[in-house]
Amino acid sequence: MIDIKLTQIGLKMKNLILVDLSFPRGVFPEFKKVYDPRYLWMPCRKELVLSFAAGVASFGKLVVVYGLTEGELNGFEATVNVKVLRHDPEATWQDFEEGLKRFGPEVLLIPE
Amino acid sequence: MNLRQRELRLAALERIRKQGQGHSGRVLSSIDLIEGLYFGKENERQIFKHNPKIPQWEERDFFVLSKLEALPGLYSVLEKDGYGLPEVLPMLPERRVPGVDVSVKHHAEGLCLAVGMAEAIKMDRRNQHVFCLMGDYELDHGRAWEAIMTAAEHKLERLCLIIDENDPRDEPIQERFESFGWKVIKLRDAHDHDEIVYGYMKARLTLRKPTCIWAPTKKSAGVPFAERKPEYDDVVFSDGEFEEIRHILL
Repeated sequence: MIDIKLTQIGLKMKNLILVDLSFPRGVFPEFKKVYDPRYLWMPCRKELVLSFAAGVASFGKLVVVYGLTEGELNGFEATVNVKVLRHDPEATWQDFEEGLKRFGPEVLLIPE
Repeated sequence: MNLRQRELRLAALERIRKQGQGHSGRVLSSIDLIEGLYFGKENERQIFKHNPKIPQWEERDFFVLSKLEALPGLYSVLEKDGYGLPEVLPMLPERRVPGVDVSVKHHAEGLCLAVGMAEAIKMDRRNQHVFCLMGDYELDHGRAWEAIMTAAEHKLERLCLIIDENDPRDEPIQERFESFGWKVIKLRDAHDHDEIVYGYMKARLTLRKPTCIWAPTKKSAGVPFAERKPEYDDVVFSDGEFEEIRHILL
């Protein structure tokens, strides 16, 4: 479901970059098929990913990171547009889409 | 050592003395690498595209300082180059300072940021390069190697990593970089301006793989009584020592 959702949102948000940390394979086949240059599958890169995402975001991109269960965004500057996705039973897709539109580092909850 | 290298050394040491804290020996090992980047020219063209009058120039190249101890050296170079620096400068690299492109707080974080920037440059097909200076000790961090492997996997040819090796090791680290898919350029004299500039030029011309410039430097380079002496690595020179250094360099 998150794959289809992000693929739909990716049509409107041309600067959205998706970083997928899933292992052993990526979980966004639809997004990858439609927007291959904007999809980065980076398994086993949990130490690197937040700083890496900040570097990509510094060029005006919105970077969405999936698969990171630890790590905080507290130390990030407000100018870094990086979103970390986490599953939550009480999350809603509406809140998620509104969160994507907000600028700045944030953990966004997505329905399980 | 040319006159500008000597003047920058004095400026950086003066900065450390005013702050009352710093790593004099470590700054002096890196300062020539930064000087070569900002002032290096090849056939009258800048090796590092930048404009001190327009720090946010859209077509500029980027410099990321991952070796945080070398910050006084970077400030001295920026000031010499004509960037309007504020009176009070932060102790860590921060974007709000003209000429500083990224904020870095931890060791090896700068390299990770630089890899991200190079990835964005590749996505957008921009004609820009990212240069990142890091210390050899930062290779002890796991995230540094994740960044190194990622850069090679993604063929980030616009990334040039400069490793300031002032503490030689027995491990074949250069061979490791090459086995991961990097091009390695080893400098024979990492304090010679012309050789440093030539290394940067070769890095700019490298295609389909990131470049690592391996720079074997000397701590406290340019200060004969302190060169390669560990007790001077992390000190602030006293007034008497500073005057002696001024006589030596100028």
